[in-house]
Amino acid sequence: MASRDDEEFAMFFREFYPSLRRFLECLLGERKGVAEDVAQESFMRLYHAGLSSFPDGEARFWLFRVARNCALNELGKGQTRHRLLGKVIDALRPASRTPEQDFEMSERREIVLQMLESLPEQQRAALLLREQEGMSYREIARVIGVSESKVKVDVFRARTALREKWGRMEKSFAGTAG
Amino acid sequence: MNCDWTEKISLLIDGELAREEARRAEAHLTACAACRVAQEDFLLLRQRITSYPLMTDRALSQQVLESILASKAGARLRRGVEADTGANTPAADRRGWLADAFRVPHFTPVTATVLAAALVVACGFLFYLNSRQAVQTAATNAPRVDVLPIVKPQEIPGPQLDGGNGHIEGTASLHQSASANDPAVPRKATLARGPRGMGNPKRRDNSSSIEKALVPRPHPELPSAVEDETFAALDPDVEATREPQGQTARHVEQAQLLLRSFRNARPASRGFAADIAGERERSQKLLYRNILLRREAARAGNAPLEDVLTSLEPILIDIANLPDQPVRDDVRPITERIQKKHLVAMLQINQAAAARSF
Repeated sequence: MASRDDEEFAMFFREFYPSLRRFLECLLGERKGVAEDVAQESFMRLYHAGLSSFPDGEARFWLFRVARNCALNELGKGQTRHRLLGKVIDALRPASRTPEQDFEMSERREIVLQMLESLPEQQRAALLLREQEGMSYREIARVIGVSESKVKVDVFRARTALREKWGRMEKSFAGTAG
Repeated sequence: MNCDWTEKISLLIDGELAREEARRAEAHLTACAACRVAQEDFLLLRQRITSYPLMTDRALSQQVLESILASKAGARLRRGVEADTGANTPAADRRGWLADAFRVPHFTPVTATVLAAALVVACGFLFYLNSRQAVQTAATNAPRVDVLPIVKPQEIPGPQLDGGNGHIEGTASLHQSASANDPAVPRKATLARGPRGMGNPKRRDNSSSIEKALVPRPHPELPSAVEDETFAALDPDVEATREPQGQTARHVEQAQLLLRSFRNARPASRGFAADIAGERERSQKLLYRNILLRREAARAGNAPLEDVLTSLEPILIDIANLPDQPVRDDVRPITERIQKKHLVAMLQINQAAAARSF
C-alpha cells in the first residue's frame, strides 16, 4: 500500500511532469531527446529530498531549478556536435516543401524550438518560465539564481530578438511565396 | 522600430508594472503605433511559445512515476543498513530531522526517543505559559489575599493542544500538527517574508465555522540565497505532516471554477462534448486531491472543511465518470445536484474566507 508521502508525490508528479517536460524540451532544443531523462532525474531528486519537507509551493521552484541545472549540464555536452547536426538536417530538408506546409503544427513546433535555441540559455530559460509556466520575475529569479532586474532584461531581450527573427523569417517566406 | 517605451510594454504584458506605471504605459499605447505593434508581436510570440504541446502520454509518465517510487525501496534498504552502521547518506543529511523522523513507518530508536522527549518538553512549556497567564489574570481580578488561588489546568480556557501544537483560543485551525510555523499562503505569497511565531493577530472568535476552518498561520521566513544542494536546507521548523493551507485554498478555487464551467456548459453548443471532456479530466485530478484533503481534514478534526469536501466529492466522481460523448441527460442530473446543494456558493464562501485570511 502506498504511503501518504508517496500519494502526495504522485499527485505532484502528475500535475507538474508534463509542464516540466515541455520546459526541458524547449530549453534543450535539438537535444530534446534527453528531456525525458532530465525530467525523471529531477523528479527522482525531489522524491529523495522529500516533497513534504518543502514549504508550500516551494517544491515547484526547486524542481525547475534542479531541472534547469541538469539541462545545462546536457547542453554543455557535445554542443558542437549537435550544432553541426542541425546544419546537416537543414541541408537535407526537402526543398519541395512550401512555406504553407512549413507552418503546419509539427513544423511550427520545430520552428519554435529553433527560434528559442538561437537565444542565450539564460534568456531562453527566463522566457520559457515566464510564458509557459506563468512565473513572476521574482520567482524566475529564484529558479535561475539571478537578480530580478536581470530577469526583466533577459525577458525583454529574448522577446525583442525573437520578434526580429520571426519577422525576418516571415518576410523571407513571403518573398518565396510571392 | 522600437520606442523607448517598448521595454515597459514588455513589463506591462507580464503584469510587472506598479499600478501607476501601468496606467502610464497604457496611456502611451493609445498614442504610439510602434508600441502597439510591439505589444501585438510580444503577445503573438507568447501564443507561439505556449502552443508548444504538453506531453500527454499517460502510460509513459506512469512508467516514469513508478520507477521513481520503486527507487525508494532500495534507498530505504540502504538507509536501514547505514543506520545500523551509523553512516549517513547525503539524502538523509539534506532532509530536516523532523521530516526524516515523521517519515513513517521507519523510526530508529534514537529518533523516536528524541521525538518523544521534544514532545514532552513542548507540552510542558505550553502548559507553563498557560498557567502563568491564568495566574496573572486571577491575580488582577481577584481581591487581595495573602495566598493566590491555585488554578487547575482544566479550568484554563486557553489554547487547545494537539500533538504539541497550540493555537489561539476559540479558533480552529487547519494545522493540527506538530510545528507552529506552518506556511499558510498561496503559491505566489510564499515568496514574501513573514513573521515567525504562533498565532495570527487578525483571528476573530466570532468567525463562521467555515472561516475558522481556513484561518491561516503565518509562514516562516524563507532562505534568500540558495544553492543547488542547499535549496533543500529549509526552515528546520517546518514539520513534514502539516495540512497545506495554500493547497486547500487552491483546490477550493479550482473546484469552484470547474463547477461553474460545468453548470454553464450548453448541450446545444458545438464544443459541448470537448468542454465536458476537459471538465471530466479536471474532475479526475481534483477528485484525487479532494480525497487526500478530506482525509486530512478528518484526521485533524476539522469538521467544517471535511463537510465541504464531503459534499463536493460525489459530484467530482460523477463528472469524472461521464461517458466520452455525454448528452444532455447525462449532464443534467449532476447540474441539478450542484444547484440543489448550493455547492458553488459554498465553495465561494470558503474561497473568500481563505482570501481574506491571506
